[in-house]
Amino acid sequence: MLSEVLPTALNGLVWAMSVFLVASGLTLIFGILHILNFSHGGFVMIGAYLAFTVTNRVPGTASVAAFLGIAVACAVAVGAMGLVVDRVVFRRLKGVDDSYSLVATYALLLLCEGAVKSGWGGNFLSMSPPEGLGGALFVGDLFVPSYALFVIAAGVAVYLALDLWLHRTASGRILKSVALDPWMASLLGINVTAIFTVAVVAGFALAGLAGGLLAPNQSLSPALGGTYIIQAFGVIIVGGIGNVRGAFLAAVLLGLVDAFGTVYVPEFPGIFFFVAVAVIILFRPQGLLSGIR
Amino acid sequence: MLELSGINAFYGQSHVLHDISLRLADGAGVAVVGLNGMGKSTLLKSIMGAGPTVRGPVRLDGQDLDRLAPHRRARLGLALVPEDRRIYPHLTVAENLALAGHAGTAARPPYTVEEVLAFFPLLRRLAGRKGFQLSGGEQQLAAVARAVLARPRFLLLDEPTEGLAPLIVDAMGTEIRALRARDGMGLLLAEQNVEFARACTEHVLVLNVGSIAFSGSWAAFDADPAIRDRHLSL
Ligand SMILES: Nc1ncnc2c1ncn2[C@@H]1O[C@H](COP(=O)(O)OP(=O)(O)OP(=O)(O)O)[C@@H](O)[C@H]1O
Ligand SMILES: [Mg+2]
Repeated sequence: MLSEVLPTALNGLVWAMSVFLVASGLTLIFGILHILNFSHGGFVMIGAYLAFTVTNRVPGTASVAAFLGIAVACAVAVGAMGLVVDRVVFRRLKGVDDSYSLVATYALLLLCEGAVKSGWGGNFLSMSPPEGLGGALFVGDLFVPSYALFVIAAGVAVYLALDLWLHRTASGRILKSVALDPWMASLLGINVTAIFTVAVVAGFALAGLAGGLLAPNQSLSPALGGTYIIQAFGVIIVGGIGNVRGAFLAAVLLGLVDAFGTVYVPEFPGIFFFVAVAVIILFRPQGLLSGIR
Repeated sequence: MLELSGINAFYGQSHVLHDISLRLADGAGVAVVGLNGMGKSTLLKSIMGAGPTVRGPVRLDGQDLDRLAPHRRARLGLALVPEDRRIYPHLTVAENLALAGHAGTAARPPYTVEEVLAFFPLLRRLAGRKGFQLSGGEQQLAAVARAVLARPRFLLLDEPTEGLAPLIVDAMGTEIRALRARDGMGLLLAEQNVEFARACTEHVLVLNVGSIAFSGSWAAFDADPAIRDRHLSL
């Protein structure tokens, strides 16, 4: 019995941090612009495809350092796409009904899928983790793939960096103030449009980073955009939509519930995630934490 | 010089301000009085470009502000304290004040938080408190102080005394007069408290359903008690 607890917990945490990496940018953008970006998964997918191409085309990219460098480059590239999306789409969504955001960002998702189909084709592609993360480690007497530990560490690192940014820096304070009351912020001399752009670029960069970090051990296909996105939506809703800290807590909670549920009730794999989301929303409709945090 | 030449303001289809003209010289003080719903707040927001749709020119030193976003107007030296204060609850008083530094420029550097706390001694012991821990009156004081931090050329105050204890009203009046004397700051003050308005300004403008019913010195205002009877409830 106990021998199952640790590996199950690890599985749950890998799931949690993968989903958190995807959810972080989604919840950041919602927290500040109040736009639910349905295309977020599409941009994660583009990040993953970019990482795939660079890794395969450029020689000498098998090291862990190169893998990280490529993920950061994906973040920069997708962040730049965020700049364009902000200018062309998001700025027009201010002050209009939410249904317009839904349609516009869903259209963007279709655009991402189309771009991937025409750029990379519809076949399944895959890439392996870099050499340093291809093996496995012993944690106690448990045999753990090093890439799994890496994903956990990456999720925690991204969470800590975001939390520090939002809570401990002057620019984070401005971001939060604009999220709470953009009208007053503009009266105080803050260029609110520019702050919104910063948030969108950061959110898209997080999508690109997630794509780059999660590309290994993934079947890349134009459907990848939808792979994590349901879970990411579950996590940000349970966490308190717009709340990065809440998303992190919710990811861990839902990851563990789902992993243990699947081990102990194998007849219904994957159902515990949905059950947990439904139960939590029933008792705390505003999510675990609320407001941008 | 802040100058409005026949502006009209709208909220969607509803036409709220009608042909308002107003000149506020540097360092001058004008009170805007009138009953509830007559358009005082709309006038101040129109000058900031922060809400109503405005037709007609608002000029600062001859420059048309028409196309400028509120933050650009703030950086040109206009500061509005809205009637609902809008102190950020998650920030301390000092952090709230510091935010207004964004409206400062090299030519018109903002005050430091320390300097502003020296102007408003009542705020000093509250500097470390979060916005959500302040009483309504304390929030009002903080909101005025925050606007002052940017060292505005024209301060637009929307009913700053509403809900304040008489003693605090007096203190605020003293501070505002002192600031005007020190900086030559212009003041446009929307008020229902006529005594406070008189103590802080030289001129008065009476709004009646979005139009100017009277404009002149306080002496002229006092000379015609009918204006007061008709347009102000006492
Ligand atoms: N956001 C808005 N949308 C539509 N109409 C509005 C809006 N704000 C104000 N109004 C209307 O515009 C008119 C003027 O309102 P305004 O707030 O300027 O009055 P006021 O003189 O400041 O009143 P008070 O003394 O109560 O603050 C009122 O009839 C009000 O109902
Ligand atoms: Mg008003």
